[in-house]
Amino acid sequence: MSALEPDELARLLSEAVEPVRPSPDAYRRIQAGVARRRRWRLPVFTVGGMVMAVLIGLAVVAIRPSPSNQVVEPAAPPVMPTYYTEPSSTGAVQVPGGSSQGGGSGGGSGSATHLPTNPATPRSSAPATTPATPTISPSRPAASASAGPGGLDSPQLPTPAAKPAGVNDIDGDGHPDTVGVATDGTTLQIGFSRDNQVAKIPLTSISTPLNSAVVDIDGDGFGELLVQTGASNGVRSYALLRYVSLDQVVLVALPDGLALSAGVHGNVASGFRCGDRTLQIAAGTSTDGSQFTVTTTTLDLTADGLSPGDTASSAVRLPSDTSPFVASCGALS
Amino acid sequence: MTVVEGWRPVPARSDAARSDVARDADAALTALYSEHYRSLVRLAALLLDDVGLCEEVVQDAYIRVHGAWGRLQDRDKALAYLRQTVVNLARSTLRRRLVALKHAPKPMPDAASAEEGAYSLVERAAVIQALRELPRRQREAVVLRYYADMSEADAAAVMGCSVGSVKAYTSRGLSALSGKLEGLR
Repeated sequence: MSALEPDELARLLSEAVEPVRPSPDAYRRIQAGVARRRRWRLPVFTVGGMVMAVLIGLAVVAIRPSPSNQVVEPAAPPVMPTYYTEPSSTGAVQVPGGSSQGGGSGGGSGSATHLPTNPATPRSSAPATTPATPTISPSRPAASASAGPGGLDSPQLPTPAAKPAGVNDIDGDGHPDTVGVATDGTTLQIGFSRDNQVAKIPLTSISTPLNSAVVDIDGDGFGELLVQTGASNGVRSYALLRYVSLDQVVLVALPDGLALSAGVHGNVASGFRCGDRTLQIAAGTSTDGSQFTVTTTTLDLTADGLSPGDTASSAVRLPSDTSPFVASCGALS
Repeated sequence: MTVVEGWRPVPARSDAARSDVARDADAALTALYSEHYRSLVRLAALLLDDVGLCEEVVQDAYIRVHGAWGRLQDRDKALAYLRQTVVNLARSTLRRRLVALKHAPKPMPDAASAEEGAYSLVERAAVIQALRELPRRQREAVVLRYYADMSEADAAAVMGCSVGSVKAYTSRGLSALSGKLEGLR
């Protein structure tokens, strides 16, 4: 068998397809195809673009995480409702939902056993030793001392029972507290009804008999305590104390140049009154002891203390006009 | 995948530039048609089993080249791109025909047209019969090398294979055709 030469194969192939003739309307068909392609290009591209945009939109929606899927960890264990139950026969009180002492699980799912010192008295006499123990009195759930997230060592205030505070209610538990003077005569004693604790506040002096008033000036549910500290030449001086945390009362400092006093001494007079979340201090001067020019400074009582506000001037004639030089705050009026 | 050198995507053009490209494409289409249409139809007739489809394939190739004219960087190689398109479309047609022949019933014989008469002459050529018995790759290599008179490198580019493969396909195809056509010589 002799091999086929390339030239011979080329000749055979050319001869084989020689009869093939293009059809006369081939060019017209090509032009028709080009026109058809042009006609469909714009709609096809438009539809394709729309489909692509829809697909991209769906992909974005599918990829983007839903806000409902985001898990937010609680910053603190949830506050569980507390209920008082009668002590069992063994003397133990079951507190459903309460967190166990020192357990620190944070979930509050388990029950804890509270051993009161006196089963007949729901209010514990020493709650400071049981920081996580909820108040077991059903009548005072909102005034729980453990409501603050930081526990008893935290400087945060407990939850007040009502706003503004009730009569003589300094610790905000809805019950009146007691104020007295120690035997040394310069130490103020406040007995808190919340936990039967007694706070002792040393002052420079305290008038006897004790002249005091509890007024919730700032309306935060904890009464501020006004105590007369002395009297000299017809002018009585006072001290203002406020409840800052559980069993803690501090002396409120006044801005420079101002003092809590009431009375008239010669050509100088002073007084104060309690307003709406403010303390108004009036300072008067006179040349004849009758016609006084009064400068009234309004102090805002906030969590940070007394901050100076507006100042107003007026004139009064004594004794015909109502004297602003008195202590007009609650029972001190 | 076969790639023709000079075929690169180009940035979008303005409307004025696009109309210039369209006019250029129309002129190129006319020139390519008048110069190469007949030879491309004959090339397709050698590659396809059914020579009746060859014009369809070549016309489709012209339409595609016209549509892609704006994206063709080296327009001097438009003929090469046209040839490659014809080869690719012939391959696709053969694949489709293989599937269709498996399921389609035998067609009823009908009256032959003048063109079909010419095609029947082609069908009866012994070299065509022998060529169709070759594997597709060997057939493509033989046709591109000896009918289209392409170099081995050009044939390799159109076929999408290496030059060595083209050599091997060509050698085997030539040997097979020698055996089949020995009686005619």
